[in-house]
Order: sequence, then structure tokens, then C-alpha cells
Amino acid sequence: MRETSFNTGKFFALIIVAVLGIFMISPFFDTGSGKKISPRLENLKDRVSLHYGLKNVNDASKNIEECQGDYYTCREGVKCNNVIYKETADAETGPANLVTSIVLDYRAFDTLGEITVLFISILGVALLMTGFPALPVKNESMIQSAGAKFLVPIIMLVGIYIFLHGHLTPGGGFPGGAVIATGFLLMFMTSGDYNFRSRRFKTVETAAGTIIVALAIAGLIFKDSFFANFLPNGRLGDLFSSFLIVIIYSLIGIKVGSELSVGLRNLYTGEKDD
Amino acid sequence: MSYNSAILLIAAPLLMAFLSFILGIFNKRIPAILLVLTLSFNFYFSTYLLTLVSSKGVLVSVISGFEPPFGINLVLTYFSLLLLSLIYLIILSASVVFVSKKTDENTVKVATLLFLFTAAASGLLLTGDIFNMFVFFEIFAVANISLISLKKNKTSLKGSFKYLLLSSIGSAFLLFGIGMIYGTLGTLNIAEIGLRFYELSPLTGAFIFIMFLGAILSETETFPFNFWITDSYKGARNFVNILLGSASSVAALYIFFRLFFTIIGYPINNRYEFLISMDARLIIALISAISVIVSEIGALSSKSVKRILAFSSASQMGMILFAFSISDFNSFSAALTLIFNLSLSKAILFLSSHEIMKGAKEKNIESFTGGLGRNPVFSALFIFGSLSMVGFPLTLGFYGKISLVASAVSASGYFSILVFVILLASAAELFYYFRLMHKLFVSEQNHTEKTKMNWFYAASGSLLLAVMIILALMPKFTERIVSSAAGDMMDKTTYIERVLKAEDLK
Amino acid sequence: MLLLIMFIFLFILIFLSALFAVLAKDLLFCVISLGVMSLATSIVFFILNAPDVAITEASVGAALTTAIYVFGVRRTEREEK
Repeated sequence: MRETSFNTGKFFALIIVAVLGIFMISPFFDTGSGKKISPRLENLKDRVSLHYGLKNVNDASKNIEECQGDYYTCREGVKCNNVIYKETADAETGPANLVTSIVLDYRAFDTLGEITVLFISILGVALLMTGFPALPVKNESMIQSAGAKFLVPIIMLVGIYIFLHGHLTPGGGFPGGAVIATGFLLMFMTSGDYNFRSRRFKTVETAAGTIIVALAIAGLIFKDSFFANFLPNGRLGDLFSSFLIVIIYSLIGIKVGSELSVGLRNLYTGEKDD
Repeated sequence: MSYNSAILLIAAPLLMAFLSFILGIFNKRIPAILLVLTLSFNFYFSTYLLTLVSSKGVLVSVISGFEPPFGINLVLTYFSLLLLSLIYLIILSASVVFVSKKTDENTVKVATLLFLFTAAASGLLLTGDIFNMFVFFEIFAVANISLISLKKNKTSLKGSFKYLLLSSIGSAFLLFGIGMIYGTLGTLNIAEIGLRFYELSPLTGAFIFIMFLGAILSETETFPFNFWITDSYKGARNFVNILLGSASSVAALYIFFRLFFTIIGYPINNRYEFLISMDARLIIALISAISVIVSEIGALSSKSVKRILAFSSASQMGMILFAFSISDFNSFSAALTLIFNLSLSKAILFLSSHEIMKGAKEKNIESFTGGLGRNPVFSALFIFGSLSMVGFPLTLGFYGKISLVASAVSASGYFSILVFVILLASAAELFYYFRLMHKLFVSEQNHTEKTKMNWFYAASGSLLLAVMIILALMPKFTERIVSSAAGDMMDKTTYIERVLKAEDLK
Repeated sequence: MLLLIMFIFLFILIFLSALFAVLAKDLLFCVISLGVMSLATSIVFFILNAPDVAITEASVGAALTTAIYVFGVRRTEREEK
């Protein structure tokens, strides 16, 4: 066991964290009247996400518009359409992976915001690291660099699989991009002669971002709403289905991968173009 | 016709932000010029939407084709569009200052940051979805942090790190509150949460209230955080000060309003007339009163001009929060007038004080000495800004403060006692602004050489000044826009009805 | 039963590694124990039927964040004062 240190500052920090933790757990033991958080999903009927799962959001909103009565009973009276894997065609969202259909269809605008959060953080890192002296990159041992050269293609392949298959299996643009960035990280940490060109990565990244926003604006032009799905959805569960989502997820994967690689490179050696 | 194209207010700066790196390869000036063009477009479009909203009421704009509460939607209200136009005006004036600077290696990146700042501000003010608001809150915070750290000396890095810590803790709290709302009510739409918030059990409601309070206090520079936030003003560059002191404050106040008055509201009398509960209002009023006192003491005791201006900004924010906490029609219009006054005159003050202190070694009060001889134009701007700030008659600050005092006196409860704090604070403000103005006239040497005139600064200052003079000299016009916006703020029922498409809630 | 034992083991691992990250004097050890915490958390996410979150947590929390912290330690000092 290594040496540890404990001082009054850490003691008070721990106490504050403990108090905050107790406060955060307290709603779970709430016994008052009214709605409260519960481990069982008792309130699934009122939830918006129920309709995400059943893929009948458009029916639900149409139902609310048609019946002029109470808002909640209108929402409950939506008929349940059967969504069957490999049979349902042209559902309102294409992906078989439920998370993807929420992330890139029902709440696509949030995902655009998250991309922007990552973009601006890496931009902030680049701005911060411009004045810092560059640390030299050491040549590591032969075993390390050879092992990295063996591992990196496999890592890249896994990353590409994760974002290309994101509409069918767990995964998607963000984790796929992060895995790809791990590959580049391994590459430039182990072999000092690896020629990492920041500028090319940045160009790829900003071009991908531009295309994503342009596709979203194309939705505004063709279907009169930002991020609307204007390409066919295909049969649920097929590899070639929900085309727009596959395209956007691939772009996000490319963008996140190159972005994180540039950010890590900046932190490793200091910011410079090429 | 649908109003879905309102998304362009967010999408246009976002597209430009992604494009600007590619365009910057050819020429570093292009993104900076595009910035001014985009902001002009946004300002024009938002005023166009404002006229549309004033005739048609609250409008809803749908994203990705899913109607609220299922998808994300933008809500165009008179209040949000008014503040948005104000923010665009301020960012426009700050970006004119930015364009005048010489290009260096960071120009493209800073232009990208300003594009993202614009997009985040638009998103914050327009969105009708609370998680979406959180996402834009994050972008906004990171944009502020990066802008503060631009100077890269010790003070600026320290200020930016403090801001980073506070805002990340704040966003974590906001996320906890949002998670609790989603866990209990199962929705993220602001209108639906506002409709159903009273169904929550009291402990859960209090938890959400405290989480939101913790999230927003650091953004609005209120009491426990005002000492740490003011450090970030001191180290930042000039146009960043304008953005931080004016645009960020306006956006923070808007988030405060949406979180506490649209979401947390309890039904009074009948089911669809909402008011935040008296206890919650008293907590906000007490915090804001303490914040006003502490900031005024800080401003009186500090020597650095930027710190004085920052503390005065914090005390004005406290006053606006106090006006919010009274929460009747008159106090909301007072708050709006004060928001206009704060953002416009604070931008003018930061702009002109920078030019007056140019060339001085230490940027404290002494460097103001003989400013009128050196730099008459900017001294005049500074004098006008500070007169409006202290609430001199015939300025915007006068109308704001007098209606705030009037509404506080007529309000029930402790608000009429707390109004003394406001009066004391105004007296303190009078003291330190007149001390600064006095220094401008005093001159030790007889021969003063004039500093070189910076036309870009003058243009951006006079743009803001023109808006201020128009608003101050046309009280009827100002009153009309302010009372429409205040009416919009009071009317939560229409907001909910329009968003949820339930015409017969009444 | 096996799942329960695994759960308890993972929670103890998460708790201990978090505590060690706070208390250790050597900052590199803090960083590594944070990485261990992220990895254990990602397994918990996987058991709780959230494979999407598990993949993200494993790649971002265990790999990238650890790397960023290590770069930070490399630029500053290794021992806490």
C-alpha cells in the first residue's frame, strides 16, 4: 500500500460530500403525499418515454389534438401498435436499438448540443495549450511499439463497428469515436516517429460537423422541421435501414474520434498546427 | 405557415462555428467578418419574430417533427425574444471590438467561440425543453470559461479556473434537479412540468428547488459566489468583459426566471393560475438582499476599476432578483427595465473604461485621473453610462429603480422592509461612481496629450448609447415593450396552453 | 446469487478505489484508481442492462480520462504536497 495523506481540508470535504449525499438520497425515503421517486416504475403510464418505446409518438400527439377532453386521458387512450423485429416496415423511427432511436430521432437536437459541448471543450483546450512549451515525445521500447502496431487496427475496427452498427446493437457515434481516439492515443504514445497531423484531423472534424448541421437544415427544407427524417426507414432490424441515422452516426463517430485525438495530442505535446 | 424556421437563430451560428475553421485556412479575417454578418442576421430575424409574436401571442416551433411534449420544441414568447434581441445587440457590439483587433494565431478559434456563445445564448432563451436547456447551459459555461482564459496570464487563468469549478458544480446540481424531475414526472417539457409540478410530494419539490438554486446562484453572481466570480472579470479581455457582464447576466436571469417561475409554481385559487410560494420568494429575496449589501461593500473597498464594475454588476443582479421575488406585474416591469439598463450601460462602462485606462501601468482608480483631457469621447460615454447605472433622472436606471421601489413598498410582507437595502445600495453606488467621475475631471499636469481614437470602439459604444438614449427619451415606447413582456411573464397559463396544444385548459 | 455476490464485490471495489483516489499521496496512483473505479462502474452498468452507457463509460472513463489525467500529472508534479 502506498503512502496516504489525510488532513483537515480533506476531512471537511468528506463531511460536506457526506451531507450532500444524504440530502441526495433523502427523496428515496420520502413518505409525504404526492408524486415521489420510486424504484418500481409505477408511473410508466404518464411517462413520455412509454411512447418512445412503442414508437407511437405521432399517434399520441394526434390523439391529444383530436380529443378535446382532459390532457392525460387523451394520452392514455392511444392504441398500441405492434412493433415486431424484422417485420415492421417504415415505423416512425427506423433503429431497432431503442436508445439510438431516442438519441438520434426523438431527441436529436440534444445530441447536436452534446457534439457542440465536446467541440467547444476541445477548442478551449487548444486555446489554453497554445502558449505552453511542447514536451518531447520519447521513443519507447520495441516491444511496446510493436504491440501497439498489432493492437491499433483491431481497436479501430471495433470503433468503426460500434458506430456503423449503432442502429441495431448497443453503441453509436460517441463510444465509437472514443474507441477510435483510444487507438490514436496508443499510436502516438508508443511510437515517437508517428507523424500526427493535427490540421488534417481538424479539417475532417469540422467538415463532419458542417455536414451534420447541413443534413439537419435539409430536414427543415424537405420536411419543414429541423432534423426531420427525410430518408426512408426500411425494415426494422435490417442492416440497411434508417439511412439518415446511419449517416449521422457515422459522421458523429468520425467527428468525435478525430476531435478527441486532436485534444489528447494537444495535451500530450502542446498545441501546434502540423 | 409553421414557425419551425425559428431554429435558424441557433442553427446559423452553429453552422458558421463548424465552417469557420475551414474558411480560416484561406484568410483569418473571414470568420471574424462572418461573425458580424451572422449576428446582424440574427438580430434582424429575432426582431422580425418579435413583431410576429406581439401580434399572434406565444408561438411554438417543433424540432424533428415530434410535437411537444414528446419531442424538443422551441417556444417563442415576447419576453424571450426581447431579451434575445438585447443579447444579440450586445454580442454584436462586442464582436465589432473583436474584429478591430489584429489577427493572430487565435483569431479563428476566438471567432468560433463567439459563434458558439451566440448559438448557446439563443438556445438557452428559446428552448422549451429542460434537458436541452441544460445542454446549452453547458455550452454557454464552457464558452465563458474559454473566453475568460484568453489572456493567459496568472489572473485570467485563476479567474477562469474559479469559474470552471463553480459552473461545473452548478451544472451538476442542475442535472440532479432535472433527473429528479424526470424520475418523478416522466417528462422534460417545461410547460408540462410547470403544469404538473404541484403534484410532487413536498420533500421532492424542496429538493428540486434547492438543486436549482445551487445551480443558478453562481451564474447570477449572487451572494456566496460573487467574490469568486468577480475575479474572472479582472483577468479577462475587454470584449469578454462586455459579454460576461451583459450578455451572460441577461441569459442567467432568463434561466432563473424559467426555472423558478415557469417550472416551480403552485396553483393559487384555481388550478391554472400559478405563483411561486411565499417561502421560496422570501428565500430568494433574502439572498438577493444579502448579495446587494455584500457586493456594494466589495465595490466600495476595491481599488481596481474592473473589480468595481464587476461588483456593481453583481449588486444590480441582486436588485433584479429582488424585483423577481416580489413577482407582480409592476415588479416584473421594473426588473425588465433594470435588465435593459444593466446590460446596455455595463457594456458601455467596460468599453469606455478600457479606453480611458489605456497606457496606464496599473489599472486602478488613479489611472482615471485627467481622463477627460486625454480621451473626451470615451469619458463622455463613461459619464453617461454611470449616470444611468446610479439611476439619475431621465435615464433608464431611474425608471427601473423608481418602479422597483414603488412595487416593493406596495407589496405585502417583508419586501417593504427589504427595500431599504435597495435605497442604501443606490446611495453607495452613487458614491463610487461619482468618485470615478470626479477623477476624470481632475488633472495634475497641465499639458495632456490625447490618446489615439479607436473608431471601432467608438462605433460599438455609440451603437449601445443610441439604443439607450432611444429607450430613455421615449418612455411610452419603452413602457409598451416592457409591459408586454411583463404581461407575458405573468401569463403562465397561455404558455402551457400553447405548448401543449390544449386550448381549453381554462 | 452469483449476480448478488458480483454486485457486492463491485460496489466494494468502487467505494475503495474512490476512497483511495482521495487519500493517496502519489497522484499517479489516484489516477489509476479512478480508472479502476470507472471500469467497475461500467461493469455495473452492463449488469443493470445499460450496455450503451457501459461502452461509453469503459472507453471514456477508463481510457481517455485516465490518459488526460496522466498527461496533467506529467506536466505538473507527481507527489501531493
